[in-house]
Amino acid sequence: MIKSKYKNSINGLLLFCILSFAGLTANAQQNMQGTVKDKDGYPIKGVIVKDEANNLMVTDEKGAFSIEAKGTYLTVSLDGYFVKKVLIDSQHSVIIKLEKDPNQQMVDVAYGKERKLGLTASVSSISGEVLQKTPVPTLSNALYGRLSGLSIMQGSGEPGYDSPSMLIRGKATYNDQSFPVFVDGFQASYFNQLSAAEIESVTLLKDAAALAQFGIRGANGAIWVTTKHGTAGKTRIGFQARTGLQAPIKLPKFLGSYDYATLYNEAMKNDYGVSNYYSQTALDAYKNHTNPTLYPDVNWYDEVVKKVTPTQDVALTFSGGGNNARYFVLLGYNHNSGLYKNTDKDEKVNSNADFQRYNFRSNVDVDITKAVSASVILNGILEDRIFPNFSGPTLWDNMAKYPPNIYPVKNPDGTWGGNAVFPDNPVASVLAKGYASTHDRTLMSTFSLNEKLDFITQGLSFSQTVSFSNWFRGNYNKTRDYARYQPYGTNINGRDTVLYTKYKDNTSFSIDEGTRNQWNRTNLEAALKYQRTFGKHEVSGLVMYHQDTYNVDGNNVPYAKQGIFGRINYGFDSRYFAEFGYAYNGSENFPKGKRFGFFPTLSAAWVLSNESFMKPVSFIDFFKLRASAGLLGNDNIGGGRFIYDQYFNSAGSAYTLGTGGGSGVTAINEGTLANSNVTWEKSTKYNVGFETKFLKKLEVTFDYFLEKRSNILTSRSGDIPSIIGVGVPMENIGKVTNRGVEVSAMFTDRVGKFEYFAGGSFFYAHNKIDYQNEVPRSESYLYRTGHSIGQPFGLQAIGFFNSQDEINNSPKQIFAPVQPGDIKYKDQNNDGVINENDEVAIGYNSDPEITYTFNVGAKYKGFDFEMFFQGETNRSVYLNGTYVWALVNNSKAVPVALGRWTDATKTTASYPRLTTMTNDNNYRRSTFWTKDGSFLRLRNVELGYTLPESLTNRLRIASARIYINGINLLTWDKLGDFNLDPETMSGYPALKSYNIGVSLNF
Amino acid sequence: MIKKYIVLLGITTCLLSSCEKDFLDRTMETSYSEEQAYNCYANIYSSGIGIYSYLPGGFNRLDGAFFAGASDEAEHTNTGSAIQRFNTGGWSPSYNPDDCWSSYYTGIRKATFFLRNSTDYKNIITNSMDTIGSNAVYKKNLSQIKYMRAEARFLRAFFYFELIKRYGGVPIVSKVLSLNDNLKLPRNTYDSCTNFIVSELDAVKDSVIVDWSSFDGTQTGRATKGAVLALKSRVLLYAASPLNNTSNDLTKWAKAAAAAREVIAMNKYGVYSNYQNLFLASQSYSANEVIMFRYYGNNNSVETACYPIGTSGGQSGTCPSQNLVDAYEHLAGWSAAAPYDKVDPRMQMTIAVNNSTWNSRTLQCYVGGTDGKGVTQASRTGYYLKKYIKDGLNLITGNTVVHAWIMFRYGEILLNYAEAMNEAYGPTTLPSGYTLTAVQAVNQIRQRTGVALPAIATTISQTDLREAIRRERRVELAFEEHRFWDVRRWKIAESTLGVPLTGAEITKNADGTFNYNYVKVEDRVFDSKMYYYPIPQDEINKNGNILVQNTGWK
Repeated sequence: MIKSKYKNSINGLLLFCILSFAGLTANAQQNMQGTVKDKDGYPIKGVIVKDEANNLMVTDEKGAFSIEAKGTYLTVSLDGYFVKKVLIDSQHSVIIKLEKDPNQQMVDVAYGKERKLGLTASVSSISGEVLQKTPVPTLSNALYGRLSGLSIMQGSGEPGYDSPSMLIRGKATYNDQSFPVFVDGFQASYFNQLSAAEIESVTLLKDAAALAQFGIRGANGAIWVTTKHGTAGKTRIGFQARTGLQAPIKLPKFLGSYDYATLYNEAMKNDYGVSNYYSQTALDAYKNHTNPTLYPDVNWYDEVVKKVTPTQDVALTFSGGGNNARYFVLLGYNHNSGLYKNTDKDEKVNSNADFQRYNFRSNVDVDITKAVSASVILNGILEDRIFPNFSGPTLWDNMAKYPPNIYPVKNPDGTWGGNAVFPDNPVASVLAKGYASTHDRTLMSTFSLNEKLDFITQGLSFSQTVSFSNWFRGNYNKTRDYARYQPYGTNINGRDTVLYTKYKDNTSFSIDEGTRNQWNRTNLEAALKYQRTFGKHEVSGLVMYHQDTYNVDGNNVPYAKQGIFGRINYGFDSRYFAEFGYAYNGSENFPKGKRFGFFPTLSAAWVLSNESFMKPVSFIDFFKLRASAGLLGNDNIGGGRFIYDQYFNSAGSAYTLGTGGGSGVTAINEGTLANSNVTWEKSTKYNVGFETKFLKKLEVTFDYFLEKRSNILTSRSGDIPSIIGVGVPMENIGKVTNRGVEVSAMFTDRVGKFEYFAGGSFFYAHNKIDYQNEVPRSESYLYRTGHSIGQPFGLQAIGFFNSQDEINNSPKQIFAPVQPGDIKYKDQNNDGVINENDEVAIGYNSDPEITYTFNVGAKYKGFDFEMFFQGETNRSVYLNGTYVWALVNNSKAVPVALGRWTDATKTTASYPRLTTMTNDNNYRRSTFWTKDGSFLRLRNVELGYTLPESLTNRLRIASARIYINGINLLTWDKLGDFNLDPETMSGYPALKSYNIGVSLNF
Repeated sequence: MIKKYIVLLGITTCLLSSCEKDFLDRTMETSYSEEQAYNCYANIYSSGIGIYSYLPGGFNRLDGAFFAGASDEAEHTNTGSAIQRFNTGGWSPSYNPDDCWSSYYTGIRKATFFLRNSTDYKNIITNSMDTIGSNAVYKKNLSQIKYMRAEARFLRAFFYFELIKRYGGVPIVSKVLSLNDNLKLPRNTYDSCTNFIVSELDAVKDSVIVDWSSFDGTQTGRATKGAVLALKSRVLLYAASPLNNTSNDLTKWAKAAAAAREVIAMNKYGVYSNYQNLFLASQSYSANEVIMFRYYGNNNSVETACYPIGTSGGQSGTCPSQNLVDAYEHLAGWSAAAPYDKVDPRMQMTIAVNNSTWNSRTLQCYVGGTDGKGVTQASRTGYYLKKYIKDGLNLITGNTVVHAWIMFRYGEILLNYAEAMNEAYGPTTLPSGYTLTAVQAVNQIRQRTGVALPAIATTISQTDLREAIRRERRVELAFEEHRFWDVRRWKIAESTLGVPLTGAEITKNADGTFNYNYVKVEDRVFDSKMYYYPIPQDEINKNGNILVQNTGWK
């Protein structure tokens, strides 16, 4: 098959050469010598070097050639690379660098590779090299904006727990939107923990044609990752190292004790008419910091959080091989440390949050005979996490909640401050409770055999694969508790004395290593492949059997999937392409006899630029139209497993009987009513698009997609009265439509030795719930159906009440007693009452409808520079809780609360009157707390320098590059004074980083 | 070579086809099918006992607060708790912190399901026994299920009562409903619900056990004859009350009196000698006054929630109001300067007051004291709860104590009886066959050992006795989830729940004496529509016009 392809492209090139150089007269014959290398400086074997008289040479293992050449130019070409013309110059040995041609490139598709030219599916893909540009410990965090159609929602920056959530082409179901990630052909939850250095490419599979092979589990899209394999030739050694400093992108700010106490007094006056809750003596003490024991002023962030924390990453790779065996080996190490201050470096009594990961991989391909080859993939990941013995998210919420004046961090006698209302002194939570740690091991091994069956018919081959992967987690926790002391002042015999109320006791360390967790996955595959070219006709096909067993600890029933799938491709004359993809597969989660479904897709592409009538249009270099349509499923339907069976479940300690000790009695309860017809979600996907290149400089890709999702598992509780007295069945009745566009463009050009590029992308997805068995609503605008999934609803705020008269003359707001300074809402149905029936759709939900990126970069004399921006818009954020609502639930005060409504500031107020209560009138979802969540981030900026070849040759290295790089350095958002990061609004903050790195190839 | 591949192909094909057959056949092995859930004694027992878990509890049951915090008995300290919605008026058909509609109907289905599927329990138990074991065990198992079938009907009646006291008349579901049944059922009237409940209770009162301890002590806590009759007494008292008896039909009061008398006539229960200890530890489930309780075993969650803020580990919790303090009778010699002395002794058995000893220290509920205003999350009323709470539990070391929530006790029955008798016949009139007058019944409560209040004179008028009984209920049954419902059924909630809640602001003088200043803690909201809960809006909407919303709720 390789042969035929090779021939084909040679033919094309020949034609190209003849056309280009017709009319040139041939010069005399000259001997010419040279070496062909790739952009990393490695020699390339098998490159065709040809003169104008069609004399032909092929480079050897060292990339060298020698040719008796005729004419002015040599043409240097290799499948998948841009063709290069070189002036014939017999005087010097030349070094020719070839660059990969994306159009000639092979792209990864599900269970195979296809020529990009003939690809009928919509995919986007990036190489491992681009991933390495964003040095982050968790791989998904390197994908922001890099794959058009993928939305990534940044989360916590906590070491080892920083995986973001992701969506492919928005949401088409209100149930499980998660999608599978495949590494080397097998579903892999450990994708995030791979090293960027072992990745060949990451491909996003988006439309029906790209996903056809996944059938019953393809509806939500998929990510297809391939790892690097060795190529025959000299051993290549790569070494990459970088180190950096990380810091929070943004930390919330809060008022100190004096401002807090002043506002608290005002709130208490509003709530209960109490004046001087904090006395003037106290206020003075807070202001002047005269008595930090009884009148503390603690900024918990300053006490707990470091300014910066280090991160490192090292990867060492070896690849190469001979004619019979090739290998790629990786050793990787990543270290990411947390933001906690003053922790024990030896990790004996406490520990900073810390994450260390070791990766190793060995990918070996062996040709056993001419017709039989085998490949063995071994991949291991070790992850060691250690963290304070206290929940990270709670710690950060406590720092945001605990007022500055509750108690000192430490009392003068060295004991920890604390009490029952604010039980977890944030500093002590890190330093005084010991630590917890987990140790994960992931091992993945795949063995496959490929046999060419040319003896049956030319182009037929068979392969079998078995793959095992498993993950195991153990723990080691060394924990203790500490005594807290609340200081209070009292007068003993006329002398002011500080006494303490104790809460809890010091305990000694206890060790726990009893927690175990694991999963195992076993896959079996067998595939029959066919690929052959007959003249202008290219034909290929695939039939594959796959089975997957996934066993999760603590769940005694493994998940199982099974199916047959494949594709048939036809191409004609590099102009017309068609593909039929199909899957017949099933899952254990459906009733017997209804487990399997058939999922067909059809797609086609037309390369207009290869039509003869387009040849005169010289400014269009390439133009391809694509279209696809197909049916896919989603078996991850939610609603629990095996809901086709009516279950009666055991419930321990349902009721306590007896006397004395008493005993919890186990009950058997009727489960949710069964649905004997439960089935998968059905997804009908349509996609049209084009790929084009103009003037050899500007590439543009466009896609429009439409998806109709039906059979979404939905509870019938919307129309079944609760008097039935049991959980009502989940049925396949929900419907959603999702549609959108993706556009990306890249302009590359050079002026002399100055190369530059500018690119951008735009992705829009909008969904609409068509049916979801909603309860009947009192007003038409209350219906969620017809809106996007997760559309927020709330009241429309129309300012503050400025007087009691105004309250008396307005519709009655029933949520809580209303005072002047409270938020006033619009009476949507004009019934004179503001209640839940006045809630309208407000803003967007928090996942963006629009993601856009732009990047610019340049290269000049070994220097390279790139800036990558990513932005999101059409998203809203709901500001709520401790980070925004001052004084509520004993929390502290945010600076925005200074703009609160008072009688004196009623014209300028920007925040409702202060209250210490959970005021259901003010603190509920409304337009007041719903803000535009749009933002633009400088995700990545990098400046690199590649050492000149003259120097690297002398140092006997193939290439060397050093770089500095910054992640998330700048953000523009619309949250203003609220001072919150638009993506990670609470908990452990998201991080920015400054890195320096080196990349060497030997 | 070729042969080798063919062999290889063959092996693979066999492997695959053998896998394929049952590869996707997997079922949940930890669950039961309907048949399995009722196929032996142990499973029938487990299926039945699950009905009990729908019984109401009482400790901190509503978002961390005692339900008393929704009435004029108390204020819950945490202003963010959902219980505050009752006080601010922020509840509606769309949001009700105590909405129980669907949960009680779940309990009702469970009971009906159990009754249906265990009908043939005798044969099932006989057939499922592997060998003929001890005849005694076999007989005991049969009795267990026989009792449980009667208890299931009691529990179902209990759930219906919990529904009607909240929502008024509700649909009565007579069978296990399936999706094909008509689920849009109309409401029955309050009276027809009462009749149904009473007929069920009458039907099972002689089929339930009288006392578990003589049959199987481990089963103590399940329903007894006393519980069945006590529920009947409460149900009929509610049905006779002004809210549900607008024409003041005296025969309803007479029925209520007769029902209470049935409990009294059992001669099994009495007035326990120590009011404070009655609600603590073993007395709360073993005292002769206790008729039915929900047992919780050892814990300290009530103490953690309700210890004063100045006690290590305490969080103030639900704090008694001045309104309640004022309801306790003042004894001869009472003075405003020492307001907690010379009052009904039950006051200090229920409420921890300033300068009293509690948790082995002297409480400082005054402004600036360790338990008073100025300390974050101190009581907002100046009082702390003592009833139900074990004194001096060390929370630092995590000590625990047994708790049991009393659902019915003899004290309530006497007050039910007194109230019904007074309304039906007057303070001292005895119809034929009756031996206890209304006044005598109240006086049994007032003259409990250690309480010993002066007896109510037999010359009292019907109206005055009515007031006296209401006051007696208020203090005797404080924090036991009666007040919230009593003021509703008496139709006096506007003047009790709709007025401000008050507390004591106490200041300490230089000479160690205290000044008491009674202040408003919170404005309270009560509308006439709140006599009944609103039916959840979703249920109204799902039923078209068949289920009618209570008056005033929209």
